[in-house]
Amino acid sequence: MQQSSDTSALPSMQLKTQNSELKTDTGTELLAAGVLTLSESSESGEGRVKLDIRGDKPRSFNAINALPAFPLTQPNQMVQLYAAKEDGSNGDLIGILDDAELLPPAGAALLRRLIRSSRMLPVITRIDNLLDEYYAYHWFVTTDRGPFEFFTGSPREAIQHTNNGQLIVEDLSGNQYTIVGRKSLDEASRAMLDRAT
Amino acid sequence: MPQEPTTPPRNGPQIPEELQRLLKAQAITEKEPVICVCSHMTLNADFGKTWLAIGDRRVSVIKNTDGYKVDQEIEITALTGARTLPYIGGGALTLEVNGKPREVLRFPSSQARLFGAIAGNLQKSARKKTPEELLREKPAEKPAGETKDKPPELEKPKEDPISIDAAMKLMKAAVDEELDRHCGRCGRQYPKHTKVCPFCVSHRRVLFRIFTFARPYRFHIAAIAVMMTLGTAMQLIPPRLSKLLIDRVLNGGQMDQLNWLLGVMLATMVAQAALNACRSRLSIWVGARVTNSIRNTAYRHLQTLSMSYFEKRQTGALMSRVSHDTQNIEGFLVEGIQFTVINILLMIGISIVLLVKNPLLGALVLLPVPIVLLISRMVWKKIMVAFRKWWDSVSRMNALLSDTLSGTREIKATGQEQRTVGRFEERSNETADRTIIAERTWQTLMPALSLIIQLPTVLVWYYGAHEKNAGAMTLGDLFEFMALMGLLYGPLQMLTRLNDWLARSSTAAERVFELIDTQPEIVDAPKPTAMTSVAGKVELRDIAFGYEKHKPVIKNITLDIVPGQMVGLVGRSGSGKSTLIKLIMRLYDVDQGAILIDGIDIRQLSRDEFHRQVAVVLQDPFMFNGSIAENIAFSRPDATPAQIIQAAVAANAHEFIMRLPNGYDNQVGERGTKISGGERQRIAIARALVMDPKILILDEATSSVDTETEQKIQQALERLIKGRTTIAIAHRLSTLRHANHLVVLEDGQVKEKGSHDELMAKDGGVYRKLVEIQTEWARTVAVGA
Repeated sequence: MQQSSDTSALPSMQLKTQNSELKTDTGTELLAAGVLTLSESSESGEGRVKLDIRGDKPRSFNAINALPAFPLTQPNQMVQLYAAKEDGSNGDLIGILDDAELLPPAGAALLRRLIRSSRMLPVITRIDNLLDEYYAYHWFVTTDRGPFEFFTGSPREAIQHTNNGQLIVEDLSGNQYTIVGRKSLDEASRAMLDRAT
Repeated sequence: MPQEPTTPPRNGPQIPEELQRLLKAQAITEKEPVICVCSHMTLNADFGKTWLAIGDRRVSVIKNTDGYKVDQEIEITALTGARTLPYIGGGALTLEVNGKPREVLRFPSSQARLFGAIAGNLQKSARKKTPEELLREKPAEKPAGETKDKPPELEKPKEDPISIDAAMKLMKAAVDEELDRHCGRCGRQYPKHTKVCPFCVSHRRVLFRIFTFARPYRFHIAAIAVMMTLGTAMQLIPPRLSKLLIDRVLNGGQMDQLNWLLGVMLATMVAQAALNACRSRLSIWVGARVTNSIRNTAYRHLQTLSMSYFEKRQTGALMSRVSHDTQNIEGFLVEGIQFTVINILLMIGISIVLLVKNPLLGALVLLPVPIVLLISRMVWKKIMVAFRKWWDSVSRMNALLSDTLSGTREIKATGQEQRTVGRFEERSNETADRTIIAERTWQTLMPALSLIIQLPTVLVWYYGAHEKNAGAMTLGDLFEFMALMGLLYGPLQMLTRLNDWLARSSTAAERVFELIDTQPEIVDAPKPTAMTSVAGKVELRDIAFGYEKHKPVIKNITLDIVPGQMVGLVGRSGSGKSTLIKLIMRLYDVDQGAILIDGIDIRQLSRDEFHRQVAVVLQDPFMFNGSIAENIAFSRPDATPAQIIQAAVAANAHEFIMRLPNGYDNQVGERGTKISGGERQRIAIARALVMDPKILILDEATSSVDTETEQKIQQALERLIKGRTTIAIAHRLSTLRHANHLVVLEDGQVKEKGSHDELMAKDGGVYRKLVEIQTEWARTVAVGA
């Protein structure tokens, strides 16, 4: 999580929305994809994304950051949009995008890029090799961010299972990797994982 | 995608030659050396290698896609600042060029420390910003939608920069320190707090390690081995006697031989029974002893592990390791090894006898042995996987069981019984499924193997009948052959079971040794400094800490607490108060800086001695199953009854304790469920008083109790803190009225410091705001009531 004092305001927050069942209004806005336009920012520098909000309170932000609230279970829902500071860190919470899938394709792609940049956790798509090197395991993996190799202790210790079947692998240096589910891997990867766990 | 394989922990000092040539050509430095480090990520946060080279002229970022290319160049004279930004799973190095920040590099969490040190030192050497640059920055700091009550005064004026040479020296030290965290032999990163590389030591295999625990019993084991060999040899006697009986007595009519033959048979039986009994008794004894020592080692080790180990694991799964897995090892030791050895000995013996008697028939009988071993070996891995998965599901099911049984109150209060049952059934079904998979494979294999083993019987009958009729073999010979063959099948079938034994017990052993091998994060210094008379001075020196490396919760806190003073920690939840006291209690070690008691780093003190000086009264004190007296004397078991009562009286607990039917001997019930929250807190205060510590840590000791009880607790606390250095957390500001000093934390940093009056005088201060909110709240509640 980006270290920002603004996140401390989140726990007490309730959502303001017309259709939502939550009735307490504390000012944090639930934004519908329909009122948002995301575009490459020309003024704020390379790679920045600009946000325009239409509707009753039209506003513009030259650079934003985005983080999903449920990155493992619902990566496209409830995406927090922050105004980005000049150094790239999170500024204030602008609002929460309720469903990113409803954005037009170009905007959705920009949003994905933003999320990918703030959540640097790789997703393992294939296990190329998993070697037992005496009490430690040497993983050779293909991830959505390219090939990598790392070491873990015993996989039973290194892998956390979430209640929805995802696997979170933590290596000996503290980096985390996600496996979306056993079924997301090919048979050879699964066999290697099974043999080790 | 970069072609070069990325090996994260090997951030070695070798700079590729091509890169060295490039750096020379770029002339980034006038004087050697150049600081050159490799991030394991590209600027797009993909895996790959990006090099950061720092010279006394400029900083270069070098990409490696089809050869090395300079991606960015920043003149040292243009550098006005440097910092790292933490992201999830990694971070970014941001350099300020003429007052304008620019992200130059991404790195994974494991490298956060290295790049943090580099950024920190670059920041120290960066030039001061010009007034224009500072002016330019201001509006950018306030993005649209900025709220008005943000304090503007946070930015400290920059100190005079150090020279780039000095900064490079510091960076070099940081890089060296990082390299020092890697094993010199294999290049892998050491586990935290140890310089022993687990890859380069302890190459002993799991099952072999069991025998290291068996070493004290080696003479017993030798005796068992002798008895096993004798017993096995004796098994070969009855077939030979049967042969003699058939050939001499039944066929040959030599009745005079009957008595001695039967006599020998009887003697063999008795001796065999006696041997077996002795061997079993002895081996059960040895097995239980060895397992006991493994179990105790595991539990002892569990107690040395740090809080973070327990926070990551479920109690149920740990319980299963200590009790269940060690039991499995015992099963293996007591039965597994013996059966294996006996059966192998028996097989060897029978094979020799068979081959000597009749090489052809012997070979026929032994034909299935290699086949069976080969098949077992082939399916071994598959079966191992199936059993491991079954084990894991059992341990997950147990974990859920322990989790939900401990949380029964919450489950009932929220009406989640059905859902909990659903979750349990899910796990239970999974366990059942995996049992079926594991056992099914096994149970299909077994009959198949039996069949292979039994096939030669037909052949032996065929050849035996022919040979007998041809007069080459007596009926007794054939009978002996058949009997020996029968003896062989048993062990052979057992040998196929051997895999099962090995699978189950080596998995169990592996899990136990895994626990034993876990390095505690908090370890005693090799030569701890002795604490003589403790004054109780507590100093925090620029400490930083995060539960996860990339997410600091405490950032650069420096505090001095005079002996006997009370310091109150104030701040919103999540501001780092509880973490700070956990660090002072040494449940975790700081990542940076040091905590000193009477000028000695707490890491230099022995943990036992340290914990004797620091007592803790927590929000929800834990009561162990036992009597009230035992709970009060928990931290000081040698406390006399008089001391216990004294402490309880001072803690205002004596009165209610004496109203209990058994007084101080009253059982508190599991987890203290039989006594109320306020009573538990007073017992916890008594527990601290009986310890008579110099330093006291209080965590919100008076929440959730009625006013009268609160008064009693307050009174007890006043007695407790007298003459002791006290660090207290409270959300209720009234409970901090005794504090000499208040420290207001926000976002892991000290925001304000001072007495209540000083802080209240601060316009727009955080403390003043908190007090105002609470007063308002109290008024609302009062009106509502």
